Amino acid sequence: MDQIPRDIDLAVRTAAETTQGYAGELPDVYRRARRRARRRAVAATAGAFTVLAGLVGGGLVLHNRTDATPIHQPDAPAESGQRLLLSHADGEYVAGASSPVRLGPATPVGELLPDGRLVTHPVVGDVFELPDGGLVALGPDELLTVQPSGGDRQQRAVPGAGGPVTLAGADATTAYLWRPYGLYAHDLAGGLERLVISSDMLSLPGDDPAGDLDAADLTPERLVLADARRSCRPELVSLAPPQGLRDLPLTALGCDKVTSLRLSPNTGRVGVSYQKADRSHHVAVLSTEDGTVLARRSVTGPAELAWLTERDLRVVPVPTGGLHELRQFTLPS
Amino acid sequence: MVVPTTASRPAPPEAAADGFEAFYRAHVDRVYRALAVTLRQDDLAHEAVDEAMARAYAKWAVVGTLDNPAGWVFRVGLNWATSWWRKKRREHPPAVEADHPVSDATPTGALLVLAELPLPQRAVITCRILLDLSTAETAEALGLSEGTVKSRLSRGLTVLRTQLSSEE
Repeated sequence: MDQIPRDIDLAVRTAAETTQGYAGELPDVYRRARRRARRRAVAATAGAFTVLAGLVGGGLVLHNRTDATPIHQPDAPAESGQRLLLSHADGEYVAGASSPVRLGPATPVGELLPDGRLVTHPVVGDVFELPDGGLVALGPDELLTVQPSGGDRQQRAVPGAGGPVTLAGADATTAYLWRPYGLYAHDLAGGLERLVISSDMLSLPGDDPAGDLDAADLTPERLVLADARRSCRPELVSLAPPQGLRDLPLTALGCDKVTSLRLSPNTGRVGVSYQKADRSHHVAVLSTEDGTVLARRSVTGPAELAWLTERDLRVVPVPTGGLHELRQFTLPS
Repeated sequence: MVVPTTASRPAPPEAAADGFEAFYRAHVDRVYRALAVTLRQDDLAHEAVDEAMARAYAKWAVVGTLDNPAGWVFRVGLNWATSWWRKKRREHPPAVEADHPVSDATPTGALLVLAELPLPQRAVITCRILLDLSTAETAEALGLSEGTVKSRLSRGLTVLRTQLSSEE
């Protein structure tokens, strides 16, 4: 029987029409593709860098890059709170009077300054700020790039040794890396690493903990993460000592998926960018003490967040695909 | 280390991305419905079609040249969902064994009868009817022989016809 009887054909088509239609959007697909590309690129080069590390006695290579992109201007001032780095942008953007800038996974990372200017930095991949105004980045080549404010760029291979490695955050002395089995603190001076918290403690998959995260942010003391399986119940975790503290549920706000998290400087608040089932985007501020919603507002796309002060959150919606104007605002709480 | 943004204009978006976007807009709902009927779980079908579309986008230079990119997306989504389901079952074994996910919604009519079919038969039927694939195209999309497609289709249609007739 190779032909489909007309009545069955009609019945099946009618049945399919009774299912709820597809409610997704193209930018979600692009975001998913970028996440996959980053993970795959890191894994694909792991072998080569493992060999390199082996040649230098199993250690990590630290060297000044003489062929690094020239420094064109001094660093952005670091005194205006957290920096708003646009690591997840993918499209063309304008801000203020600037010309359109193409930002994406393979382009220099963008930053929206508090004065509204959009600038780019010659680093690629996941990027975090350093307290001195510098940056630390982990690109798909598995090189950890440290660009101190006004100093020489340094790069170090951080091979994944068979598993993906993802930059999770940084402070003055340490880069935090997601690796198989957990979150590791990587000493920026010497390259030594120690396990901060295991993936088991966070109920994340051991082979690729970051692969299951919709969003995360950390300080040396606190980690907040949105596991994709329970995205709208971000979990606040103490890193010293390592223990779970509390859930910060967003379900009462109609959350369907968290897209970004940012802890305030003293970790008393967390800014959350989230999406509802109707694909609308929103931003909220929650108290990390008890999960109280202190502020919220709808936005025009998935938002990047940075704290100006302990109470004021800088927000910029960053839609993907096409040409967009970046308009930031402050959400007080 | 700030680079002025006016230093250079970005390259225009690749034409390939336009091709993918047109494909996505034309086919995503149809593939989603085919997966929803096959998997019997709307949210899993949504994740599956998003994952498969993301992979299609990443490989669009190749996928875009296939005779049936929609069939490719359907198979990738189906494989992804099946793997996800198996992993979930390993980690959280169900109290009652089932060989496929169970929808929260109560199906009716043909959807109910389709739900009674084994997943491989449902996959063939949805490819043939909802994706409008021929036997050969279905075989290629699902990685089966044409004979297997025909036999699964035949068995599935027999059950569908019997059950739908008895409902009437």
